Amino acid sequence: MPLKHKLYFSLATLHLVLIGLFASHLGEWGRAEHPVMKAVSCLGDYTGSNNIFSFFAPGLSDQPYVVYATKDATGKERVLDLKGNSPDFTNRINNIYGYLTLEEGRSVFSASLAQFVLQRYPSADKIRVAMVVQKIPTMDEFRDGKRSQWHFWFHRDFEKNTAADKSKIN
Amino acid sequence: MKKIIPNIHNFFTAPVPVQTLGCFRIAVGIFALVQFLILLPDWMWFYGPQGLLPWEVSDGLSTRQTPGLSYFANLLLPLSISAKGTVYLVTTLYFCSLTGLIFGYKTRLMGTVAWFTHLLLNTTGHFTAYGVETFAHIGLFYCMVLPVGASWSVDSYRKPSPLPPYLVTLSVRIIQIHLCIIYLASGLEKSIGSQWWNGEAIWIAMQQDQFHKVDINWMASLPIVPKVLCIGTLIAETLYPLGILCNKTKKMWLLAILSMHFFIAIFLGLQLFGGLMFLLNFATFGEYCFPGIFSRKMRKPSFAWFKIVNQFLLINNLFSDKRSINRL
Repeated sequence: MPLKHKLYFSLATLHLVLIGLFASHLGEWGRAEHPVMKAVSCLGDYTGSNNIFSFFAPGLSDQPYVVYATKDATGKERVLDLKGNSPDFTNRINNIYGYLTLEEGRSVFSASLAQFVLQRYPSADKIRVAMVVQKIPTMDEFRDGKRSQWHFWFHRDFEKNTAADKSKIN
Repeated sequence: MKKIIPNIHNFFTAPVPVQTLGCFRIAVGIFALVQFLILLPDWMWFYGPQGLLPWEVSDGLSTRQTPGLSYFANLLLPLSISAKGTVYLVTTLYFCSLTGLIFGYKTRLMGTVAWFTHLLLNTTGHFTAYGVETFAHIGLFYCMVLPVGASWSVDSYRKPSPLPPYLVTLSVRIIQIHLCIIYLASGLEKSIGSQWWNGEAIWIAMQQDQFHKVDINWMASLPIVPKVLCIGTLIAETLYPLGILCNKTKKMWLLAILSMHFFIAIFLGLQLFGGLMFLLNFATFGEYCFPGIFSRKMRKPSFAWFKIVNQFLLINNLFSDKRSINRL
C-alpha cells in the first residue's frame, strides 16, 4: 500500500475513532481543560466528530414553553405567543426554551427574549416572561382519567428603560 | 474467524460505484438548500445581530471553539461592512455555494464555502439549532473533504479525472461507519431509559404540544402498540451496524430505518430532521443495499439536466461520447 493510501486510511481511522469517543461522551470523562482534550474538541467542532446522539434519550421530560405578557403606557395588556414565519420556527424556539429550564441561564435567556419581543412591540413598556411546563400523564394515569396540564414555573419582569440597569427582575 | 477477516478486508477494498458519492453530495446540497429556503423568513431572527439571542449573548454563552458571525463581522469591519451586511454576505455565499455543490460545479471550492458559511451560521445560531444542524454540518464537512464531485457533476463531465477505486471505497465507508456509530450510540442511550422499554417514550413525545400532530389517545388503551414501536426503534438503532452491513438483513434494515425517519417526519412534525436522515441513509446505503440503484439506471437519461447546464454555460463539447461514460 503506497504511503498516500496509508495516510488517508490513518486519517479516516482517527476521524472515526474520535466520532466513537465523543459519541461515548468523551467530554464528560473529565480532564476537559487538558490542552489535548481542548485541541481534540476544537478539531471535533470543525469536523463534526464531537457530537453526542442523545435524541429523546434516555427519556422525555416535561415540555417547557414561554408566554409573554406586555403592558403599554396606557395600561393596556397583551398576552403574546412568539410565532415565527417558517414551519421550523417552533422546533428552534423550543430549543431556547429548553435552556430556560437551567437555573444558570435563566436570567440572560429571559432578558434576551424580553428584549426581542419589546423590539417587535415598541408600544409596550413592560414585559413578563413566564415559563410554563406541560405535564404529560403516563398511559396508566391517562386511563385513570388524568389529562395533560400546563403548570406555571417561574416568571421574570422587565421594564423598558434607557438605563439598562433599571430592568427589574423578580 | 476465517471468514471475518477476509470480509473486513473486502469491505474496505472492494470497488464501490462512484455514483454513491455523487448521490450523497446532491442529497446534502438539496437538503441544505431546502432548509435554507424554509428558514429564510425568520433568518435574521436566528442569525441576525439583534435576533432572538443577540450576538453578545450567543458568543458569551457559547462553548464552541469555532468562529461565529460576530468574528467574521469584525474581520470585515475595515471594509465598512456592517454586522447586518455580514449576515447578508454570508447568507448569499451559503446560497451560492449550495447551488454550486448540487450541480457539482467547482465542487471542492463550493463544498468548502458551504461548510464554512454553515459553520459561521451554526456557531452563532447554535442555541436554536437541534439535531438537524449537527447532521447538516457533518454532511457538508464530507462534501468538502471527500471526492463527492467525482460523479453526477459538471466537474466530472468537463474534466474527467479518474479516481483510484480505493479512495471511492474509503470515502463511502467513512460515511457509512459514521452513520453506524451514530445509530449505535443513539440506540444505546435510549436503551438506558425505562420509557423506551415500556412504550412511554412514544406516548409522551406524541402527546407533547410541540410534536402533537395526530390524536393518539387510543394508545393508552392499547399500550402494546407504543411498546412495540419503542422496542422496534431500540432494535433498529442499536443493531443498525450489524443489520445494515450484513448481506442477509441489509435491505430490510435500510427499509426499516427509512420508514422510521418517514414516520418521524410525518407524525412528530420533524420534517427537516426526518428528511435529512432519510436522505443520508438512502444516499449512503442505497447502492450498498440495492446494487445498481444508482449506477445502473442513471447512465443515459440522467444527463438531460447537464445538457441544460451546458447550454446555459455555453461550454462546447461537454458531452463527448468518451466523457459521458459513467465511471465506476
